[in-house]
Amino acid sequence: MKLEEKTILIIEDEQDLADTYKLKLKNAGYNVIIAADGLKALAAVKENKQIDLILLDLILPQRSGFSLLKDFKENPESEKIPIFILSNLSLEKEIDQGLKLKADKYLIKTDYTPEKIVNLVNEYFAGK
Amino acid sequence: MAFIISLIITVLLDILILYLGLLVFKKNPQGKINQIFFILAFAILSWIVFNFLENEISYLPLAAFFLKLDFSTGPLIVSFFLLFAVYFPDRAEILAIWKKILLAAVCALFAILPFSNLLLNNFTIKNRGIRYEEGSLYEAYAIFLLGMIMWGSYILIKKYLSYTGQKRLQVIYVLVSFGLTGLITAVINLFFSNSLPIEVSRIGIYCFIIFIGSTTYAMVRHHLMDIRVIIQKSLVFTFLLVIISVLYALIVFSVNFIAKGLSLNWLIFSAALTVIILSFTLPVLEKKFTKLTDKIFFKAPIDYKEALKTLSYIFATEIKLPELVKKTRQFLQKTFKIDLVSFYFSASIKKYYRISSADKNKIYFLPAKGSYLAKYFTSQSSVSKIIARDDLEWQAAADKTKIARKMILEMDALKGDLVIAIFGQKELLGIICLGHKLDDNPYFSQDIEWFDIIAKQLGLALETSLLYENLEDLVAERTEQLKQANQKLKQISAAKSEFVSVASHQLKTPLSVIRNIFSLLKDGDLGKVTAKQSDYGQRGFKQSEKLIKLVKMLLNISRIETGRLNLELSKSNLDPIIKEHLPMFETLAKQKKIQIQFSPGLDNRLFNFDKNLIGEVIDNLLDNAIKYTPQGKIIIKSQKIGKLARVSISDTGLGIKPDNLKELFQRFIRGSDKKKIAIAGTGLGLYFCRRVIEVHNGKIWAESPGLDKGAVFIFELPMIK
Repeated sequence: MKLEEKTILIIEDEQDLADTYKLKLKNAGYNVIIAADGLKALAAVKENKQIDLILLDLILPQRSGFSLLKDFKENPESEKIPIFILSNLSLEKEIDQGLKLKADKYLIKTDYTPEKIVNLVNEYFAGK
Repeated sequence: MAFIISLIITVLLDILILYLGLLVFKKNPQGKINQIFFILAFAILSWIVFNFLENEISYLPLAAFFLKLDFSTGPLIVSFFLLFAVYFPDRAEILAIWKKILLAAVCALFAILPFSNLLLNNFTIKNRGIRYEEGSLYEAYAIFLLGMIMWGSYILIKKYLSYTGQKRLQVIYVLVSFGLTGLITAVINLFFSNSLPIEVSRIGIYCFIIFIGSTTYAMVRHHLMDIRVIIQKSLVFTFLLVIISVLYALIVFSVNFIAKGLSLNWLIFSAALTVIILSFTLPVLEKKFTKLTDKIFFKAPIDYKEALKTLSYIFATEIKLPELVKKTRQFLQKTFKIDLVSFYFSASIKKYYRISSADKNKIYFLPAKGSYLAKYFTSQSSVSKIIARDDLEWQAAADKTKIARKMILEMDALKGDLVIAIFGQKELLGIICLGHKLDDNPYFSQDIEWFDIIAKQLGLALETSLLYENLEDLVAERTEQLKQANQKLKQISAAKSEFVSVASHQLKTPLSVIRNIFSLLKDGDLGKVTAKQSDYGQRGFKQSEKLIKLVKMLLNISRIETGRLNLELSKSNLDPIIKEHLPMFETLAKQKKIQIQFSPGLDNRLFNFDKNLIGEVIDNLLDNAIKYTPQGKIIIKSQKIGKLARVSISDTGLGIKPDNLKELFQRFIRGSDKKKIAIAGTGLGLYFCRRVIEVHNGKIWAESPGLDKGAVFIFELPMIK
């Protein structure tokens, strides 16, 4: 699989933050879409059949990250898309809930620089 | 000699009767009953005088005249006795006006009768004393007197039966004394006056002092205890005298009968016989009589000494105000057999004593204004600290300001027959209201003397108790204030922690953005950068990483402080975690040429802890060790000590003054040494470590031989049970 074909959806309401990750991922050769709220995220998933990974924030306008996660994982069209939660919620109960809802990874924003994200994503796709 | 004794007795008796009559009259000159009693006493007095004169005067016509006067006072006495019986202590309407007139007429008739021959005639003087023969109407006269007496007695008995309480008691005094007097007098005077020696027959007359005395007592009563004692003693004395006299008369009579003529020898013999008989029987009789009169006058004698002892003990041992009052009340009630004993605090006590809600039903107060009793006791003019309701009744009759009447009303409202004022050092603390004695007895002067003593003691005890309650109150009040202040502080602290928590969380996102931007900048993701730009990008990146770490720590501290930290405990081995954290410090250590050594010693034993938090503790401790060690070595050691895992991080750095060792772990404290202050730090790290270790039920401390001698930071975590 060629890297250029990979599309990553970043669901993040903080534009500046989303942009830093987007920039680094783009530089690493990924196609990046940003959705700034829950509804836009749903629409983006519907429109783009070819999403290979979702980076999901939890605190979002319109729909919470958890409910989006549930939707994506219950919908046959999107259930196979890997989802990494990327949030600053770091309590065990929150992490547990995310993993219970079948998130593929749970990442804490403060621990993940764009560089680390790119490394992780690269590793993930390489391992697949 | 006998004449002089008779004279002295008569004069003394008359003076006494006159005094008692006036005493009653003066109490209330307007009162009908007082007037009647005064006339009655005067009639009896006259009668005694006439009786004396008739017997002591040797001139026959004059002696006969006094004898007639003597007999004519009889109807007067019985008539006024009847009137007295009607009016005493309350008027009983039983006589229609025509009956009164008829009665007065009959009385007047019998009063004149002695001056005719129909009652008395053939007067002679024998030895000392006049003798007479009975006329044809003598029996009628005697029956009239007895009839009147019986009528009066009947009225009194009826009253006695219908009354209760004090009035009943008053009536019984009059009845008993009159019954006794009347009996003795009637027997001796009426039937044996001619046959008995004059001295013996006089006893009947003297007996009237019993009646007058006890009636006076019944009317003036209250705590005129002395009269009561006099009456009791004189009753016993009279009884004995009567017995001696009767015995002597009997012996003389029998001896006379047997010996037919009275020689001196026989007289001596009979006197000796009397003395012998009496010497054996008198003490026994006296005891019996005393017991009998005790029963009448003193129903249940109180052991005042014992009572004082018991009550003093209560005063000395009971410090709580409501308990002190309750126990005193109960004791008085039980000891004196009183239907109700209540305690009312003076309203002014409220300023010293705040009643707790628990005591609200146990403590009573006099009204703040309008307590006439309180006013009376606190006024300058008040002499007594104890007032009896009966005393007030007398005062009320003469009192124009009606204050006594108002005091009576107040006493009735409080159900008190006797009120005792309790004074402290300076002011009236309250009053004790003693109700009615269950045995209907009044309060005796002994009772009152005793109350006077206990009132003073109780005053002291109450004052002490008030002081104590005050102190308790004060302590309670201050404690409450402290509690509130503490609560407020806690709230403020919680609000602060909450703020820190929210703020920290909000800080995380912008800080992540800044850090990410620096990261992109330094890595050339935003376009080509010079080495200098990259260097400064790196610095910005590092500082923002630090800031993120600090914010995380703040968040954790605030979570611990507000109790909202959910420890994410897992059974883990500590050694690998320490190992994991070492590489982060390698670069820094290398720069400072510090050697880091780790000797693990926990042998895969599992401990229960939050990996992230303990990891941060290790980070903090290592960070500190490197920061405060200009060069040298840092040795990390883990070992098992009993059931504890101990981790020590020792350095060869600046060391710590012994004084500062303990406060190191407090918030915002760093070593006070200047060198250290020059080194950047937040002063939060060790506090964070302490809080984290503490929530793990562990211990953390520092050891140092002194400045520039390095330091060891040690923490211990308990093993899994």
